[in-house]
Amino acid sequence: MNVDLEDARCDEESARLLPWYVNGRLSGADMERVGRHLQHCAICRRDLAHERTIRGLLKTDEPVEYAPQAGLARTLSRIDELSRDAQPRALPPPRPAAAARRRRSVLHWLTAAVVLQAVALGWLGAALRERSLIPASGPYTTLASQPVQAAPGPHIRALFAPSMTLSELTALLAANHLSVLRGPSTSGVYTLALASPPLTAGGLDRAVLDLHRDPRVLFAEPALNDAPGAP
Amino acid sequence: MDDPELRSNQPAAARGANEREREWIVKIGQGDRDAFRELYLHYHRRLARFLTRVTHRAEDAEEIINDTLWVVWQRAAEFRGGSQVSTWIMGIAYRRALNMIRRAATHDRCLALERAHGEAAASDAGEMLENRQLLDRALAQLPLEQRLVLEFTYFLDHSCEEVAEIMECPINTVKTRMFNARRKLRAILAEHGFDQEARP
Repeated sequence: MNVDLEDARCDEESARLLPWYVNGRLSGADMERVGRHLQHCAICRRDLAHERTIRGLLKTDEPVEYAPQAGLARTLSRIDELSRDAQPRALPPPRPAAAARRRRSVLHWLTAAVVLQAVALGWLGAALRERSLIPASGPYTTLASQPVQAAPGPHIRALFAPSMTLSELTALLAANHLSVLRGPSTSGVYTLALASPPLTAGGLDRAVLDLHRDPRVLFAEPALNDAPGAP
Repeated sequence: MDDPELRSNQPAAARGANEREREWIVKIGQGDRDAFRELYLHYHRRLARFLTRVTHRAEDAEEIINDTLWVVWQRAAEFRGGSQVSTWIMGIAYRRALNMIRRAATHDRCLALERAHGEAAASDAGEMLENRQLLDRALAQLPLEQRLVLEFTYFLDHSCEEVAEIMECPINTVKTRMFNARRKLRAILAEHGFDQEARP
């Protein structure tokens, strides 16, 4: 470059701004400053001519083919893809990772619930087992049974169908003037007594026969030597 | 760079163009494909010429154009008008071009130089064409940043402030790069018998 920026005759800033003086993109104040400088600086005037030549050459159109439509079509289809991708984003479906996380979470809760249930069942079982080990201190009576004075003499042992309801059992016993003396035992056997008159041998047979007629009665037999405490 | 004083060096036609481009950007931010089409066609030639000069490859230039305008589509809604639309778009294109050129490594630049040398030697066209090819050869020998300042200023007619904004550097850095570019260019051209009197 011919401009010696150290030269006191040349305004360094004006020399640096020369390219933008050439392309007309200086502010008004800078344009005036460079213009004033050029009036008395032959070196910068020569440089100005050179820079104008360079700019003119750069501005010369090159044999480049422009085909914007193909690029535009590609970019628009890219935008379409973006729109399609963004669509589900408005109503986001559960993402696989999120769904998996949710499934894992549910699984953890289920596992915890099962463990808790197992612990509870274990505790309940232990409590029941402990209770069953305690000897029964008195006769077992059903809710429907009336407190019956344990009558000495023969009783009836009976087994009823599991499908029989409590009210059906109560009605059957009432119809045959029977009441529950003890039971049911662990095997479901009831000890029955004729409420009134006291059960006799003849009355016993008749009561057993009546019970046999009912299909819900699976088993009914006289128990002549029934011991207290046994169902 | 929204200082009206800095904008005062902008020609009236350029200010009008910027207003129209701002309207496009607003519409593009709202998803207007027609506005995008207008902007794309408006900028394609300008970007293609600049990027082909810088990358020496039409296909690279095309890729950068599409990437640049794709970014414009995606970020138009975020554009707050703090700069001119052209400066914003050229800044995006510049960063992409810079990345591509740096990726392409020296090997490709050497090939481009050889091609330019070969073309210059084979050509017996007029003085202007010869000077133009000579200039391209000389430009290819400049450091990339210096060359780009020169291209932004002379090829795209950006102001010093706009170049600083595009290249994300201080204004003084632009002036210094330009000064160094001019000095080296003059030396290279003189070495190759550049005829300054041959006007384009």
